[in-house]
Amino acid sequence: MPKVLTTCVYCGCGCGLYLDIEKDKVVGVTPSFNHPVSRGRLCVKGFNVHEFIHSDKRLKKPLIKKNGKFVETSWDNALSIVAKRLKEIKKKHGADSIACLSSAKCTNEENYIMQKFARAAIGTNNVDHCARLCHSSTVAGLAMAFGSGAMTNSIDEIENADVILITGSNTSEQHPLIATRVINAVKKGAKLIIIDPRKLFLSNIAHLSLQQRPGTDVAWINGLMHVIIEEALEDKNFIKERTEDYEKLKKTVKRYTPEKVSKITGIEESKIIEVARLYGKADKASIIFSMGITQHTTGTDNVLSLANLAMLTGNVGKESTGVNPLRGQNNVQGACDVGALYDVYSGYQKVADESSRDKFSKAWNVKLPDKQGLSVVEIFNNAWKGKVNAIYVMGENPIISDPDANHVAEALKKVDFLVVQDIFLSETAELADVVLPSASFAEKDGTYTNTERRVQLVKKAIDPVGQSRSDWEIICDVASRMGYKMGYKNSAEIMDEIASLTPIYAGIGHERLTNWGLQWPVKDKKHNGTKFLHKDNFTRGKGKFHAVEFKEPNELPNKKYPYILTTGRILEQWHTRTMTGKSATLDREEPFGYVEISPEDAKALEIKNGWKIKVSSRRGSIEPIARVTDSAKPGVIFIPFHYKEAAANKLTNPALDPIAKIPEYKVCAVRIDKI
Amino acid sequence: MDKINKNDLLKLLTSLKDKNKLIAPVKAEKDIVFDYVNDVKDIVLDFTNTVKPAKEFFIPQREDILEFNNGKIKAIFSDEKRVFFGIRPCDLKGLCVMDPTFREGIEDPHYLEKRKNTVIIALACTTLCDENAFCESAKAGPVADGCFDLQLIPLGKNEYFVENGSKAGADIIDKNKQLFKKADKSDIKKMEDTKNKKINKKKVDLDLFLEKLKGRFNNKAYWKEASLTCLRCGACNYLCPSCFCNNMVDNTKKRYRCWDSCMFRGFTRQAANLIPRDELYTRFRQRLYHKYKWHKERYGVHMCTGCGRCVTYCPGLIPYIDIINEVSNSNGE
Amino acid sequence: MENKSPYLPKIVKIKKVKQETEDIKTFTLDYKPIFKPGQFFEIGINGIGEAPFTAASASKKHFQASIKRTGKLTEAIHQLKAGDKLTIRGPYGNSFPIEKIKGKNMLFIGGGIGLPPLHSLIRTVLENRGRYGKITVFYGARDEAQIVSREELKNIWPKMKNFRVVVCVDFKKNKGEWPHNVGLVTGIMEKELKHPFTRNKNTIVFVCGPPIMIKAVIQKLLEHCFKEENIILTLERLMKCGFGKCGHCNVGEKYICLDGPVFSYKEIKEFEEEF
Repeated sequence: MPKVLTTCVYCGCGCGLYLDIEKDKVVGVTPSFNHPVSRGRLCVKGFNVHEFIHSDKRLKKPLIKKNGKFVETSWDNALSIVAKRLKEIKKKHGADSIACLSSAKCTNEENYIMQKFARAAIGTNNVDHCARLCHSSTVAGLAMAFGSGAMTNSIDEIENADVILITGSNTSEQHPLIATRVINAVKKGAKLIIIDPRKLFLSNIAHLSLQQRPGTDVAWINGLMHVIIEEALEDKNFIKERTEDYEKLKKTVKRYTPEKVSKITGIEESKIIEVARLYGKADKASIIFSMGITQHTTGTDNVLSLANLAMLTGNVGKESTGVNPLRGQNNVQGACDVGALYDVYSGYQKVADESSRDKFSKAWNVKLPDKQGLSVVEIFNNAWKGKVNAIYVMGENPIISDPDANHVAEALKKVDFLVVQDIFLSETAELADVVLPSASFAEKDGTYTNTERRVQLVKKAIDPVGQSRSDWEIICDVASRMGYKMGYKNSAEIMDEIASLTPIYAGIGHERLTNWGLQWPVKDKKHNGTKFLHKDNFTRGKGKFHAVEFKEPNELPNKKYPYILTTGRILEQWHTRTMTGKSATLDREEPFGYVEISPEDAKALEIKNGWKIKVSSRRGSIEPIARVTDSAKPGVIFIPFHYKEAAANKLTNPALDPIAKIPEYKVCAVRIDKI
Repeated sequence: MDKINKNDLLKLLTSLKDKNKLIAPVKAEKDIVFDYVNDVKDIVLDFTNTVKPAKEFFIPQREDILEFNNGKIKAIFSDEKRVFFGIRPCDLKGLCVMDPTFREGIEDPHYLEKRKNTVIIALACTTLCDENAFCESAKAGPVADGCFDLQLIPLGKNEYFVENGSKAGADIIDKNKQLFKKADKSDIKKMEDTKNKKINKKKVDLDLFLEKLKGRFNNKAYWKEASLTCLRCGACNYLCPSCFCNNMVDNTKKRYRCWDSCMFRGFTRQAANLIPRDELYTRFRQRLYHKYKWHKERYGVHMCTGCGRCVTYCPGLIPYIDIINEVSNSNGE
Repeated sequence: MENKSPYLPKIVKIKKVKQETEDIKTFTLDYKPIFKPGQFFEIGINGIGEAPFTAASASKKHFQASIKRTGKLTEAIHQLKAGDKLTIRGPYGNSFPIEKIKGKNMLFIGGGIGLPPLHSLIRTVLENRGRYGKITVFYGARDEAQIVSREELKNIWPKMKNFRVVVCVDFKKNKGEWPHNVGLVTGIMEKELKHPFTRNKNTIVFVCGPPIMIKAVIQKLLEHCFKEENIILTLERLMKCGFGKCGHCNVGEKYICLDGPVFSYKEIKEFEEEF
């Protein structure tokens, strides 16, 4: 039973595990005792990560649509159709009429190839991926405040914090192996504070667990800072030496008294003071956050506020502190790092910056477009308007994952040409003109970058299933057929190109990653990586305070839509269930879409646990099963977005954060009806 | 009574490998694992214990049971002859503990054939493998008291006392006489010292625990508190050398058996969204009662061998040993 | 070796399919197994899976099972027609205590799809009617459309000697053809248990239905002083193997597939929370 060491494909923890191989099949998983993140432990998804690999439903041959039905075809035929159609559309409507969706599930090498394909082979910056929908506001906000949009500290350090503030992250479900560190910290005496619209699993062991009204994060964070300054708990030395624009912040938060904040957020005044004191007095306080903070029209503001809070108390740039966004997908950090975003090349080098553009033009031997591209949501809006005519999707399923899903489906139906490259025939792939079968994580080499910036190896354990091929190989072939030659011996060679063009990855090469990877920035081939960021200086020099005012969410409840819907994920399912839905063990845990509703609301609506109910917003309606639970706050309901049968994103609001263009998944107004 | 030195042991294993598939501890990239061995030089003799227990070679994490072909069904068996070298006493006892389940009533040949076709050469422990091990209390180690064909008990660095436990074991010694030497008095003393040596840091009293479990079943508050940080990963079943619960899953060509976990909500899922053990604490309680009470009452053995994995690899950091001791020392309510 | 696996099912033809209600069908198979009433079989479709079902027929007769459409497998089974094939293996488990009930009165309480499993026993009893005492059947369904075994409940059993049938529905949608009571089974029990025909504390009671109903029914029976050992239940679990290997049906030191599915309340009352 040979065992091949690799990195888990599910979440951003990046756990190390071996795939057990028997007769060319992956039949099991062995945790790695020595892995720095997982230490011999795994979550239920990790233990069952092998289950989807040999599913009957894997795509094994390229498909083309004829008369509305898919027929199998050869690679040669499929690739020439894709190249021909893309060339035609480019000629007719221009390069910017084509858009590419890259994937946080794919390797760094593949994401790099995808954005190079868009920029160099097609000639457009219309390349983006689901990071736009999860942490683009983190990347924007932390870049503005610190100069670097990533988890400041390492997973290991969490265990030694004195105070841990978790907000907008259901850590035990979404990042179980990070929850382990939180649990351990609490066992060692740390105080855990959770501020989240729902009562979470970790609330069971929290010192304080508070439920704010969704979308009021800037208010309570400003409130904490108000109290901290009022009680002189700020780190004056840190503020003076390391930061700028403090006075502006001070002026703004002065108005956010506990009384005012309590009225906005629904959190008791005394609790705001208590949290402020706990956090303010801690020697090492760590903030952990995730999409509960980022997926708002004020997402960037929320992130800036957390950065303000950390800087105000000197809780950044040292061990076991920091502002720590937990990245969702296994490689969402990496996909951003290597430039699968509409405005930056790899290493966050701006497309708008002429010297960066020159550097990449030279390296790629082609004149690169200077016009900023379209973000994910804008791509679909433009497709709907007929301004985007072809979309090339690699390993994403926007019909389920993007807000206002009905609108996305309509947009996809409108484009002239849709190519989807995936391991399964996803709901999105069903609409495609050409479907290209890709190899799963067990069938290729490459790297993923986990949430703590650790670039780790992914290794080929078995040959690709059927005729499937690595995503990078497919794209290189399409590019070459379109007349822009892209050819690499292997993925290591692609990483060498990334390193040569990307300062934060400069010292990275596959050969250097065999000892549990490296945490970027890795400045050169001798540098051993960076455990935590901003040690003596912030990446941008001084840390910058931003005075942020509270703004209400885009859509508030009213008479017709009296409840607030917030969405999220659960432990055993993954995103749109393309993988977990094919895993017998995982799908059995939660096979049906449901809605969490408080006992008070259920009583008022005369709804019983287990009943199917109708939830509607201005954009659509779905019928999930009611789960009456006191983890829901009266007036607020929660629906996991995984299920196409009860797709929460038919309800969600596509209103965008103006800076990061992230949609407001976490707040929309809905009504509930009995069926 | 015989002994064998390291070089001769490797020779023995080489010769056994000719006619059998040899399973032994080897180094995977970063960790020690059990695997099929091509070259005995790859075998690691001084390993502590693997993360995944040896049961995966008898009830694999996933194993094809039936094959469907044009409306016909065929059962799939492997009749490979195997030698399993280096299994530690706790993992060995794990197999002994699940044997009666697979034997009772209608036998399960998919498991039992593998047991029958595998010669087991156990390797006794002389050093502590895991802070959380309590194999002494579980009467499983550090030296096995049965269930093996041969057991090697280290006599210092390069020599092993050879204990014979079956006819298959005796045959191996017989056929390879030139590789074994007679153990002398000092060897026997060393061997006995090893058997008597206590190396565990943790201690429990499983019989007392069983007694005290009797009155605690309906103490909801206790089980809720105890299971407070369970992250539903299944590690305490998956990595347990004696847990055997399994699921049957179909794909279009095969029906396969795979590991299951009573800690999963879906474990008792029935049609119509009915889940008898829907609440986490009932599943947590089930696991402990099944292991420490019901299996013992039914088959006379605890379904626990004290390997400590369920504590060491629990991402919720649930202190199972403390729970056992807490209940054992309680008034039993 | 290939034929030695106890997991290897027989492939049998479906003889007849009868629509009982909107979502319940009774399948008669071209297969006459020998078994005891109360035992169960694993019925399946290759490529989809298997699940345990209790026989509704008597031994050595054409095998019958009533199957409600509730999940992936039953959905697929419902698509099948006469002439199609199913897989079946069994029988597994213990059976109703036929010997113990000789000469005794019997009360059968079924809810929803919980009546067919009792059929097998009722049919066996009727084959040797003289050996047993009076029979009462209480049956409850959600509404009139959900009533199963309509022919027996309405036309056959009530006309038999020493046989009393009481049917009730949770909700009454229209007038309907059934002279029934409205309310839960437990509701009618309050009144009907006092009926002179049924009232006898030594009656053996057989209960089968959804867990929530079973619990309520037991409570009611105990209130009316029925003996714990005279309350007989059949428990359900999604048993994967059927013979004690998969662990899914472990409750207490018992395996429902080996020691059950038939238990007296006395045997399992400690684990009431688990069923």
